[in-house]
Amino acid sequence: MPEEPMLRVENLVKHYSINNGMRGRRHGAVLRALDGVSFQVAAGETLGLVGESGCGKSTLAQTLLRLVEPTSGHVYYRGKDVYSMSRKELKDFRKHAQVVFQDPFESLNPRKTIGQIIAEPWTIHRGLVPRAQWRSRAAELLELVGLRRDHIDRHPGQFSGGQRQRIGIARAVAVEPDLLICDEPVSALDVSVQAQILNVIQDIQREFGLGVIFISHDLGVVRHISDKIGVMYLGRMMEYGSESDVFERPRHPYTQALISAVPVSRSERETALPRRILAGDLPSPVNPPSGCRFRTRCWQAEAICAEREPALETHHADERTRVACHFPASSIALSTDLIPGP
Amino acid sequence: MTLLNNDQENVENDSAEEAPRLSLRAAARSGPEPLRAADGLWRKVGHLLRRDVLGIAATTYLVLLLLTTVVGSFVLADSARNTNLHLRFVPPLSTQYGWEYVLGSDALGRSFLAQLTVAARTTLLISIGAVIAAAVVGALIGTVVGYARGRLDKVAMRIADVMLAFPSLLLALIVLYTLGAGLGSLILVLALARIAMYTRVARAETLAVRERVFIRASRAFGAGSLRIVCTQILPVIANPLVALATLEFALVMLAESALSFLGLGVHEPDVTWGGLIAEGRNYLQHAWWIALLPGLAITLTAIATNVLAELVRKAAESE
Repeated sequence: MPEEPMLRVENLVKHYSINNGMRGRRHGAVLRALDGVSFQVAAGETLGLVGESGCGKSTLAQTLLRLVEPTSGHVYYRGKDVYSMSRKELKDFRKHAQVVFQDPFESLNPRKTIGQIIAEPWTIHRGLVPRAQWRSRAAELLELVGLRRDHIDRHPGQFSGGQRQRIGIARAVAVEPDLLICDEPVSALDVSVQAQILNVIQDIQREFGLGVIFISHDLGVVRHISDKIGVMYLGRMMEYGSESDVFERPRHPYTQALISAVPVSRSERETALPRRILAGDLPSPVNPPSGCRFRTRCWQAEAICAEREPALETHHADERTRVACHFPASSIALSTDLIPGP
Repeated sequence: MTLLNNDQENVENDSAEEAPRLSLRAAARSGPEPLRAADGLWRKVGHLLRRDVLGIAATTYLVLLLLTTVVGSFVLADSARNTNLHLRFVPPLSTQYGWEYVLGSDALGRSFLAQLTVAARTTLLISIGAVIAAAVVGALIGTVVGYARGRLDKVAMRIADVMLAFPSLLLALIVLYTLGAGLGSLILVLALARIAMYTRVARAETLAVRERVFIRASRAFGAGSLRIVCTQILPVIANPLVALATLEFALVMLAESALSFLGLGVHEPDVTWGGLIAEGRNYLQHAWWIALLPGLAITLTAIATNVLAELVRKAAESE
């Protein structure tokens, strides 16, 4: 039995029932935001989750932290099921798992000063930092994320998006968590600022040895920061493996299409994957296709794809990438070192 | 991956983006110092006031009224009680009988200036008390039910509908007949009739705020509902509530005057502007000022607070 990872997600399902109709009656329609997602995150490891918008990435972030209750499934933090925690245990869990939100203009209370915003977790978890040290500790955190100490008395409205995102990061690490969930932390920012924020996240991860779940739709960003990659499509994990495997030897047709859509320079063009342009739109998560969810847009789909849903599994004894496909691309020349170091 | 080549930490560049977001109103003009969204409500009101003659007049009137009331109710307390049957119905605007009689005298020969001042204190006390009581209770209920949603919310809002549909003067009549008139019951009645307004506004604002990401961030830190309501939501929705309270002040004062005029107000020796008008009604033929002056005071105060309320509303919206 392998050692229990820091975070273990098992078959997580989140369905939203859609209330539709004039009389407010439920018509039984169900939006399958998450439909059985499993993965693990070890301490100090970064898991990148990619997928189109509407594939359940943000729902996953909220459900992991129990900001919304799941329909079924389990999340184990250090062996303890997050969804059966008592109120007290849950409060303690919130010290260990934190989140950085997508929209830096919405995630900070406009009426509070930066000092108050960063100190907020300390007002909730008494004893974490003594009140007399709140200001000096908040100033230290500001410096840690690359802001100036004297920003402490300003209001969020006086900062740019990148600076606000730094403040959001400072607030998240104020409780010294060991798991940080970044829900599209850079997608609302200018490209020039994105790299800076990514570096802040990476620096903090190294300094605190954080496990990071990094959610994004930007493959370049995810590749830069992640050790492992999970590719999501319509609420399910399609491919799950190490960063180098998934990017260099993508097995799932969807992953191949995603990677081929990333622009490449002329020098890389020879080694790049053939360009795959997916036809059609993302099917509705209310009524996903039968069998494999991706079959409606897949160029390899056959009869079996409509009948049976492929499980997320390894297809050869000696490989570690798990693929949910009936016809995964064959992996050529598997590298021996599949798990890169931190 | 080109974007990631720009790897070096460039905080200065980031800071260059830093631009205080000007409020639209301030940006449209070339004010001496730009206003910031995070500035306090009263600073913004002060800023708007600088260019508003009507606003300045209204504020000046209200400040003077408050000063006269506070100072006058000490200085003039005795002359408001002293009757002098030789000086009955002295007409106003003459200092023949001393400055205390500059606004004339009433049927018992009391200084009418003193009467007005003492009545102003009672009127303002009742109005401000009722506004604050209604605002605090109404805002708390509205924020809590707006954050909790569900059945509690539905029940509370239906009750609010009923309260707003019920004629408040009728409600006041019923309560005052059962409780008996007096300062406390008057404040209670006036507050009771207006609580639903604050509940509605607070709830509507809360519904908009509760879905915002910083509330989710608080929950992610393990904050309980009560903490979120008190420390995160109330500070954000305070401005529109203050604006509403300013507007409500005039309404409450008028309602109080109406009740006093109907004889349901405070008892002697306490008197309010509405009570003075009721008294003056008997002497309209030969002592017009006894009804007119308190009426004028009520009208001016109501107009001035409405002007101020409009400014507060503008300031509250400029975010």
